[in-house]
Amino acid sequence: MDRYQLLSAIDMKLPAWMPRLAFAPQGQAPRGDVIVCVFQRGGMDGLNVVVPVGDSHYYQLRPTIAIPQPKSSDPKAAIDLDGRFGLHPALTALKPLYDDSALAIVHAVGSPDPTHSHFDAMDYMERGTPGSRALTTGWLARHLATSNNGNHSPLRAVGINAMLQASLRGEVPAVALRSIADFHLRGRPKDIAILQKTLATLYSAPMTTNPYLLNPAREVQNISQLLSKINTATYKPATGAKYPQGSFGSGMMQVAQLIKAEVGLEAACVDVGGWDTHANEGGPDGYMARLLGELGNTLAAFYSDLGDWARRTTVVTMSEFGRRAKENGSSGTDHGHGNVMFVLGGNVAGGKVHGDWPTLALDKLAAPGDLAVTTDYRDVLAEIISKRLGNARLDQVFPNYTPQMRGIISSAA
Amino acid sequence: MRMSNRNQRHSVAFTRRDFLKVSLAAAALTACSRIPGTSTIAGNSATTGQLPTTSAPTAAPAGATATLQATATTKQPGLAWLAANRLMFGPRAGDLQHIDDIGVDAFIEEQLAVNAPDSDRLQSKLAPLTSLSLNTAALVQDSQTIKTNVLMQLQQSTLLRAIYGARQLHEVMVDFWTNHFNIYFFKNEDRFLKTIDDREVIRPHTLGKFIDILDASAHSPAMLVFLDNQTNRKGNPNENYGRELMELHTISVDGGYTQDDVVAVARAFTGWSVRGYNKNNPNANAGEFVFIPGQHDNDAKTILGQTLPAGGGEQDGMKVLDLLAHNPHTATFISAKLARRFIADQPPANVVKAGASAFTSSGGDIKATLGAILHSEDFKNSFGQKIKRPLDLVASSLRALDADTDGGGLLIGALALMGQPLFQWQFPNGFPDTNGAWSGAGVMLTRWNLGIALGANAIKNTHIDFASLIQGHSGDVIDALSMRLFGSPLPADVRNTLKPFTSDTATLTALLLASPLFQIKG
Repeated sequence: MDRYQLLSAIDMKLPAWMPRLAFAPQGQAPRGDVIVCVFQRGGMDGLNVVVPVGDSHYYQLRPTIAIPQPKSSDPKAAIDLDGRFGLHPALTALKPLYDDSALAIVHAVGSPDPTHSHFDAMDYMERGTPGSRALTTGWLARHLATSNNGNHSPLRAVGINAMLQASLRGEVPAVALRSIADFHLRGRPKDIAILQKTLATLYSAPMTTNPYLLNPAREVQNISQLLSKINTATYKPATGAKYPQGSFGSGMMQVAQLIKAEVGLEAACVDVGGWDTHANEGGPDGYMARLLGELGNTLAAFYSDLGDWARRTTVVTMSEFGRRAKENGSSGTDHGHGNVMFVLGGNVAGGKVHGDWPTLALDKLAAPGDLAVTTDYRDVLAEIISKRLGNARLDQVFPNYTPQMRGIISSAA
Repeated sequence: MRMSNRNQRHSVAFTRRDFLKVSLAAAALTACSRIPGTSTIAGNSATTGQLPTTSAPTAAPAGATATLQATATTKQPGLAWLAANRLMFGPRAGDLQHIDDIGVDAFIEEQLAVNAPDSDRLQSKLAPLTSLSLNTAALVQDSQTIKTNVLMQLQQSTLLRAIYGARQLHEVMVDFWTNHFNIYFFKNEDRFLKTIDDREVIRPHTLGKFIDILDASAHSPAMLVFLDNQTNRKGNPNENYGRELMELHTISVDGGYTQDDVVAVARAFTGWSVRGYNKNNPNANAGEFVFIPGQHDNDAKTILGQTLPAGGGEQDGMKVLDLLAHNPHTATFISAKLARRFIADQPPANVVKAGASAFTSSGGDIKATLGAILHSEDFKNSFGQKIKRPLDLVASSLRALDADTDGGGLLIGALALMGQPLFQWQFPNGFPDTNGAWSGAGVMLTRWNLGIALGANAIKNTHIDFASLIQGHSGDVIDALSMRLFGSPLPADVRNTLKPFTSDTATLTALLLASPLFQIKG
């Protein structure tokens, strides 16, 4: 089924709340998928997420927080993936997606820059230029800027947050918003139109020229207009899709809503925090298990909520760094390096743990005792950008870097 | 150096030209941070250029240069308004007149020195917030028995002090240090301990010596819990506090430290811990700082090339604090952050240098550092460089309109919607202090909705007496409210736009509070 057949199939079952909206000029609709970038702020401990159950060093380094080796009868054991790796037991919801080849995992992936600072690591990662601050734009913004397809939707790029994620910062307008359901002016209904009109006057040149005020004001007007045509308050996820409570679940649900409403969304960023597990991280149960439950259940709900749209959506997860291989004295882990990324969606070479495993042998660890990075995270993003989003300008998205295609997207794309 | 402002009293009026100047200066600055060659979104002429090194942008939009240059030789209209928005949470009635009367430099000194007790009004507002004065054991017990909302009370007290406090610069600086030494309220016991940190660490040391607030923070149980130092033990150190102490509290990420330094600092703070709370056997010392010698790594350590000999005990940590507080990187880092707060997102290098040198020569005196930054010409020329953060917006609205409020409920909710839920920034670096962070569409919409709610007196336990605001004013209602909010009449085109609402105070107030000019922090 090509894109247009798919779209007409979708049109057949448009629910009542969803209007048909066209933002891109005919025939110039977004060429590729919607990309949804999930950033796990704080530095996720990838070694306890996709557990190297076949690497004995792991169990030596983590006497109190390790996830036990797979054992079919034990709900607290890792869920076997391929004999070498197992999923944390709180991620059961992701196993069917892995088995269906919709979910690919990349291990020992990360940034070549060795910083252990959260803020530097996030900054470099979101710019897409490890070790350099020469470019002020984010990688996702540069992707959008170099794939100019005539899409003028005010919701072309959305960060579900009060503040725009740095990866979306750049010359293409991107909007930060927390909630689409109550995105409207309050007040007496009879006043709304005149309030809107007067604010539009006040927030336009020559009365305002400050871009920090002018741009968001214009976005508010455009987005309210657009969203007023969608009954966001009554949105019901597809049958079987149950988003966990909390800001990550509701954020992803809103992204699904925007994708299904065909409002011109091409790139979305959603954050999920709380990964800075220096102490009392827990193992099969405990603090991080709860976070992972929320992560896995949300991603699974999102995928099932999207239905047919999932085929033209790619979700990619990332975090600024992984954590130290050896647990610390607080039953937690300090800042480390190599980590795990998930890629979920259409045409993913799923059901596989990609990447070279460097092992956790002492002499293979990166200073001061971290999982080494064997796959540059830009390779993963570049493959998505070129094969799923149809943008060949990787030299602009990741300047001074030649990404390697790692086969994370199936070649049939 | 006191400026002669006597003749300037009536020149605070905002003219159309000044208004444009404010906007253009900000536009030029913003444009500089974008990629050279890309068009600005404002639709005005494209502006490209390098980062400005002084407050006058090196490349201003066409037509703006003349205006910017002209201001250097003429008096600065609205200087009082600028000062009231930066050193205070915006002007209350009479503040602008007072600043004009004594001059901005004298006002800066006054704010640095003010030591007035809380007004009766503030005290009576704070009185119901019983958790503010409790110790840890009592806080824990209190929250279990009568279900006091400790966080809400702390947020309310912050807002009430911003609105009604006499020591305004002190309050602004409390916000600064609260973010510099940020603690996420919901990290374990911090839901009790942050109240104590606010009361005993941040507030008493806000305008003192940097080493004192650093030392108080290092001993703060709330900080030790937030950065996991209560479990930092010899043989297997926890690096969290040690790293952020250098990166975020003192020498900054450019301070030249290595991973070995991080580990050595972490080792120096092993054993710095917090007395546990046992609910079966509450004891008065629960939640207090404790040094546990048995958990301390007493071997020698080398930090930034300096050796701490073996057997240092608790003094190891003290020596590290001293070493870091007196490192030149710290002076520059603190000065730059202050200049970013008070002057511009990209503060001029010379003012950062002046602040750093005042910091160093005064032995890390916060008042001296602030004085060097605030008395600079760069400060006086920084119109339009900062937009209000949500806390600035909420507090300045309520101050200007002399609202009677408990500082709670929807006001706190609006802060959260705008991305500034007080005490709930999860990362140790604090809420961002740059314009871009506070200018998303969702934030803008909430700014407007807040104005609409305040204009309609629709926020529970917050009341604005419009009749008395307007009463006795010679001009019309637009002038009366504009004088309150801006200390000057509006530019003619803005005024004309608002003219149809003269008979609808609620909508008029909403539009004034939602207006672009009211989003600007001087």
